Amino acid sequence: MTKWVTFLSLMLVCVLPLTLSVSAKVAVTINQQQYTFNEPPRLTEVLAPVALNQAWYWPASKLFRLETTEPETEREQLLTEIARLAQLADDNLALSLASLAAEIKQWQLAKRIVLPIDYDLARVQAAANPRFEPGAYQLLLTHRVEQVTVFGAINRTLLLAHQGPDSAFSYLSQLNLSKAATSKQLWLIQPNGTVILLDKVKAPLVAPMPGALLFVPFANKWFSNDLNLLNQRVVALAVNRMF
Amino acid sequence: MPAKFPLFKLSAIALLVIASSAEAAPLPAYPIWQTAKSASSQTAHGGVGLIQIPTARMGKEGDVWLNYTDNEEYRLWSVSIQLFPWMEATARYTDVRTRLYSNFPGFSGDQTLKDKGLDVKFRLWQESLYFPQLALGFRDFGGTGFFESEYIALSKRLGDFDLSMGMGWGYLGTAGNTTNPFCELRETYCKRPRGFSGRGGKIDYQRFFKGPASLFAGLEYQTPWQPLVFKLEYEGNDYSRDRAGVLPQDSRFNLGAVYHWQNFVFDLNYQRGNTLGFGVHYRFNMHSPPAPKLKPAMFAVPESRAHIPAEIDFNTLTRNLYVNAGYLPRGIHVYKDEFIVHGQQIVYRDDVEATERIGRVIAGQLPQHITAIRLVDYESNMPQVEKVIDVDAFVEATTFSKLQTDIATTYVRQQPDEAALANVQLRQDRGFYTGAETFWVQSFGNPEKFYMYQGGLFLGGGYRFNNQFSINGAAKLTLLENFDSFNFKVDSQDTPLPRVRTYVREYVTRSKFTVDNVYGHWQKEIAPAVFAQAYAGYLETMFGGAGAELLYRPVDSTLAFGVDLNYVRQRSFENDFGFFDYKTLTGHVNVYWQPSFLPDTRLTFNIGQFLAKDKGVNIDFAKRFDSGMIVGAYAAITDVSSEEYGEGSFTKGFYLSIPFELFSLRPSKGRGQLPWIPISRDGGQPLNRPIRLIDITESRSPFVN
Repeated sequence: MTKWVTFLSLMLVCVLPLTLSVSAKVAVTINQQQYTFNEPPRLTEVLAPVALNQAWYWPASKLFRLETTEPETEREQLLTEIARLAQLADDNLALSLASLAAEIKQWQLAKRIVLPIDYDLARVQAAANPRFEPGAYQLLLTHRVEQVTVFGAINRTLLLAHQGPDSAFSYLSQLNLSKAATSKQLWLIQPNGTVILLDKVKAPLVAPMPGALLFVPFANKWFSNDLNLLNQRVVALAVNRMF
Repeated sequence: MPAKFPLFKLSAIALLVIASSAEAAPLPAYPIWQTAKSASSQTAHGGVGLIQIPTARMGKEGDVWLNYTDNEEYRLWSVSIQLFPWMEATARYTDVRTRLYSNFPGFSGDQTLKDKGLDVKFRLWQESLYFPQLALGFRDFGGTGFFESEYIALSKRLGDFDLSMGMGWGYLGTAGNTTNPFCELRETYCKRPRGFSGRGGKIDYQRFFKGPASLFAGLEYQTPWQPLVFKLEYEGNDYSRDRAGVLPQDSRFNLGAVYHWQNFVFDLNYQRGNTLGFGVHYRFNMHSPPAPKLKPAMFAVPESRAHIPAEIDFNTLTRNLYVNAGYLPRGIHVYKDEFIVHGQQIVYRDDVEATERIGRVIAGQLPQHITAIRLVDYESNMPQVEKVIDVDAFVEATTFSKLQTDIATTYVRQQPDEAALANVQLRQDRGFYTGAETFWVQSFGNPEKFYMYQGGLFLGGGYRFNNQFSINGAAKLTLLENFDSFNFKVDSQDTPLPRVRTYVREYVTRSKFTVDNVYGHWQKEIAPAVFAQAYAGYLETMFGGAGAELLYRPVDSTLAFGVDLNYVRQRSFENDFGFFDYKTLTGHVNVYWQPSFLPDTRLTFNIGQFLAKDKGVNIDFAKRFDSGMIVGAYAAITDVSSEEYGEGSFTKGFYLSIPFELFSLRPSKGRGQLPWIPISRDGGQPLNRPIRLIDITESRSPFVN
């Protein structure tokens, strides 16, 4: 009896640390390089190996949690909804929806964690230096890109040169809007994950950050809110876009 | 080719200083890359518009404008508030320089004619790409109506020009330069009835949109120099029926220039082709958060509580709670795995911040086996609300041990648990207390002097026997006043109502030192969320007697209701402790409601019998802004007719409640109230009960703080 008890205790002692250490491990892939931490690290520890190597444009940093299929599920549901709306739509709208669906299929998605990622800020402010939970993450750091990506109810996705403090609506003049689009509103997805709905009359003077996404929404039809909801879902999914 | 936009831009240095919004919260303030066009400006009468004519434009919600304009014959002081994005209200005093207040020097000396007025404007349609903004407004609708008008206005922005046009009736339509469309529909709309209904102070619906109508139009031009704006308007008034007399008008065109400087706006205008006018306006916004305060840094919480000793240092803890968290503990107890604190918050208005501070002070000293903190907040010696903090979740949130945390989710607010309360034996409060408060009473528009005031101290004291029963008193000591300028004590209006309030001048001028109240008070929470109180003695300046109140107010509920009943007798104004013969039963059913469709507002209904034995309802509407300021209005509609009531027709008033914190460098819970009561007579007057249950249970579902 005592032998069994000793044997079982020994097993527990050996197995427990393994399970504990597996559950506490954090794997962060920064661009292409993977870093593993045995204990959950803080943001400063994660950024320390790379933070000062290059002139990173911190506002455009993106953190994603891997190991979750939530964005993929949402993508499937969104594509189904787009297909459904396309069947009921007229030619212009159907064409735009098809183009959008093709665009969405190409996206690489992961669950975005929207929080400020800035090595300097994290070193001075405790709130900006949270601790990672055990799991796998992708951290994308980039230099300042001088471009703004526009997609949505337009002929095709465009990469436009960033125009400094020019308002988001000033980019519209370079686009061929679909007949199904509305030019009265624009969705702005800043690189730091902030989403803003811009109204041309009420708030015309908001500028996209370098690397932002501009979504030209579909004009909502009378007596139906479907396209409004679609616009919101596309924008919510676009936040999870890695590439 | 990108569209051209304004010539004025911030310098590159300013651009570097602006931090990008990196928060995860939805819709942060827009980063301002370009200087916006100048904000709206006020008309001479108050309210957003051009010079004499209003436009359909609205200010930002929470904007308060204080205006002074001088237009030769008229001087106008006004306060304009943008209560909601779609509603603007303006209150105004007019000085008519060319007329006297009255023909009786013994009554009003040589004071010139004064009048007060109220305006309201509603936005009916927001401007969109193709459609203009549409607004409907009523000027000077409550009162004797010197400038009484109704109007519809349209405004559309085209580049640097803001174009407006509209149609006005009444004062704005005196010239009658167009046909009144309502006159085409119905004969009764062709002529505007004269005079005012009741005894003034009522909304004269039967005059709306009647009589001559005029079209008006105007434009505002934003010059390339950002602070300067030009105005040009064509008005629909020919000044043939003005209260100041027939004013010569050489031109219907008025022009003006407006200069914005920080929170001030200065304007100069040329009206009627022959009159120079000017105005000074000050704007602030009630949604602006208070300036940062000097307060101690919040305690840091250790990530791991493993090394915290099992013995808690209660002395240090109590001191830290008071100094760092503004919390006065009445009792601290550890029961199994719970840390229980009973106390009162005396410094921080914001409940979320207050709770976080307390949690941080305590968590840093809690040994690992304790998993919950139970905070019981007291007010007026009764436990009001309990917050149960999950210590592990709280520590995780305050040490940012997860990528995304929210402190508000680590605790719950609830009705104090009976069983938990029973676990803590606290000493009852007992003993003498004293206090002093300053007061300032002011009154505008009096016949003797426009501005009359009285200031001094309320000296309070009392003895508390236990948490339920106490004896309280307050005396009023007047230090500064000009009330000795009164020419009369009681007005000569002969009304059938008992004079329950119109002897006010007698009461406030009898002596520099008067006993305001002396009464015994009993209170108890008789059932969960049901409070009761009873009081007897000299209850307020003018009445004494006995009464009781019940209130049902669950924690964090948008609805509370109760009832109060009082039997009172009128106090004598000849001495401190005598009574007159007048007695009455007065009581109300009280409903307090914070509707979900109007955020940050509270509606109060007091239905019952008032002091003059009239029956009806007092409706109070209060709106709280982000800064903590509260704007309120109330009116009492009773079975007293306007003839019986007298001048003013019914009791109404406005008030502005301002947290003292806005004027101080340190956080504070105190408030001051600025009432504005156009006329107060005997109808619709409630008893000023010394303590109201709705006030002492405030922390259960905070509105006032």
